[in-house]
Amino acid sequence: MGLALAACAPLEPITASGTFQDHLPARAPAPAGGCAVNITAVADARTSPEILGIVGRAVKAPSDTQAWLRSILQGLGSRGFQVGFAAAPEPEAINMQVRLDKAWLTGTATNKTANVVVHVRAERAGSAPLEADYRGALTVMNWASTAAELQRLADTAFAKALDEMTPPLKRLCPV
Amino acid sequence: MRTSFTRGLAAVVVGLSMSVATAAAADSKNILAESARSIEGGRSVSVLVAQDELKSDINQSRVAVAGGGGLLLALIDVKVNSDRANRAEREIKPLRAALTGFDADALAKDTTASALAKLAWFQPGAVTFGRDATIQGLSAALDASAAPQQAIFQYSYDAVPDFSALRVTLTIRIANKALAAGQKPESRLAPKALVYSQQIVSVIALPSPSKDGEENAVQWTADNGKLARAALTTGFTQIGVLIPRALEKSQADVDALKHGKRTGDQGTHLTGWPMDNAADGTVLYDYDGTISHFKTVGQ
Repeated sequence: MGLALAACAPLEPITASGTFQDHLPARAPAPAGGCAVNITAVADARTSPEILGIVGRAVKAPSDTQAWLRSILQGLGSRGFQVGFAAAPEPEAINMQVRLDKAWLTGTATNKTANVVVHVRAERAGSAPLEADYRGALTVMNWASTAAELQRLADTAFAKALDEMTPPLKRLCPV
Repeated sequence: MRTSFTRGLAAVVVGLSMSVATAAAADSKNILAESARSIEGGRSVSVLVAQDELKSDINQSRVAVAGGGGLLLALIDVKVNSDRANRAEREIKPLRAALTGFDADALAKDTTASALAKLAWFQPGAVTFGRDATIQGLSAALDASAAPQQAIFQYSYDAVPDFSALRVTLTIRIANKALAAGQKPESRLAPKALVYSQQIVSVIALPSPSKDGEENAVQWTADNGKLARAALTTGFTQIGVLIPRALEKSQADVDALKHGKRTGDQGTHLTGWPMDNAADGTVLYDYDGTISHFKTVGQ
């Protein structure tokens, strides 16, 4: 019974880091003249932006949402793009608006699961515009609901969403 | 180290005795005595939806329970449950995509507001919405409440393990804000401390479910999730119909129900005493006080 009581005691909430840790190794920036992505707007459309999920404990979202989402989108740099954040569209770049629609971590039986949905609208002069949702999902064994485990879970889900949006974005790159 | 695995073992040890105790205790908390309905200062209302999208569910492996316990059997349960969770998450993915734009949060808020509007005595005050359903989150919300009591309407919506039905669940809890000297804030939300506690479930089934979960998921997903959208909307609507009934039932109502004959539904495995109600579908009241509604989508 002592074991049961200890096991059921509520865990303290944690706050996710605002610095994205990609599952891809960081690469040197794409060479000048390569495929540039200019992110003109980043929005968070989640109903309750203060929380990222519950996996045995609450996972609070980073307080600076803009900085956090920009840190995630910098991950496009490891996928072969030159990433910028100018508010005005740039004539040679893929100009992109990004909206975070869903991001939730949860526990299912002995697993922990992350699901994120990122809506992207992108266009480059002379190409057909792209508008789609990109999902990052992950289900893995939950060991102890530690801060490091849950951070990795969230980051990996976002990395998968970046992986998913990379091929269609590449198609917008100049040939 | 406190692990999910440890929690699983603990659940095996205490699960059976807890479920017996819960069933015995539930009835007394799901009746709000007429004298307790009105309260000076009214009640704040918290609507909770601790999810962003439709959840999956699995049938939990019970090898350890069936085999009398032991580490090896518990490990088998962990592996089986993990595989089932992986599969469920894979199968639900297209359905989630088909439900893009379906606003369950708005349905939860509207369901609660329209149900409470029918109960003048409830005195609903400020309504807040959130996702933090942890005990610390609930306690913090109770602290922030301006009213002496808070009514918590916590919704969840998911697919049953074989995807033959979608399910909307509401847990209503009414908690006192006042904290006695030396009392831990979270203890206000312990089951025995609650003023009221009630669960309502609405299960909406496919008309012709397959034995294969993936095929059922395809049926829900077809035509931009048309059936799934209809089922979830029906689930929330019928729960809204049942909220006043749940909050106003008396012990005499429950006693009268229990003189009737229990019945059940083979497809959904729900059982209980049939309740007279205004809902569209069958409504049952079970031993543990749960009110279950079920119907077939589109019928």
